[in-house]
Amino acid sequence: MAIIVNLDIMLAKRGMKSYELAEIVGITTANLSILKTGKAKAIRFSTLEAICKALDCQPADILAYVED
Amino acid sequence: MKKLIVLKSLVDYTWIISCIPLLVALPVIVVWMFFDTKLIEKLNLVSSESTSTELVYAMFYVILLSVLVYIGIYCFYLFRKTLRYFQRSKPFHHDVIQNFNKIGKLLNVIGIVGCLGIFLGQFILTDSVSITFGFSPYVMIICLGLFFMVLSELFKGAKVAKEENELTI
Repeated sequence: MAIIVNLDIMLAKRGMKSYELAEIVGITTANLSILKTGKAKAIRFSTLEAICKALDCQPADILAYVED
Repeated sequence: MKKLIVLKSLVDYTWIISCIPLLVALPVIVVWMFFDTKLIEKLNLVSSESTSTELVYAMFYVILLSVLVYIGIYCFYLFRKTLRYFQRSKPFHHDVIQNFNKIGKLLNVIGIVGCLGIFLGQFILTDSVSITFGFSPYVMIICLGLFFMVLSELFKGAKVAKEENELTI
């Protein structure tokens, strides 16, 4: 997939655990894992907003475009 | 889901009352036809003055119709199997899509072969050619077959949409 999710890097930078982020954002750890592993087909703006708010970052810090 | 229960009950009833006896009776009739040729006369396919060639054609005709009935029963079996998936709340299962497509293709085969069979059967057995425009059960079967194939395509699309929805975080 051309869009990669750098959630792991942001989590490490903020020193936050996956389950903590999942709890703050209000999604299950299973769904967060789908997002982290790049298996997700789409992300809602509301989820992206909540993640950015929780990690105090921009969407570009989490998502990146890489040419295949 | 009361409608589904009623539908499944009716399909089960038809399966037990009509399909299972037909599965047993048809081979008996086909085999019996070879020993007692009067059976074909009773089916109004040939008269008592018919030649042996006409008799062979009539037998072939009965065998062809029996094969079509068997294909029809198989379609009904697949439909019954598909209803079970609906009852288990798995409407977008891979087998459902495949079954609908298979039913559609088989119904089209029944419709086309039935149409040609009747046309050629009339031509060979009664030396007459007739084309009927308008309502025909075989055309309805072809329509039903195409409907099932369209339904299969729709279910395939719905399955993709469902998967995408599930993978939207």
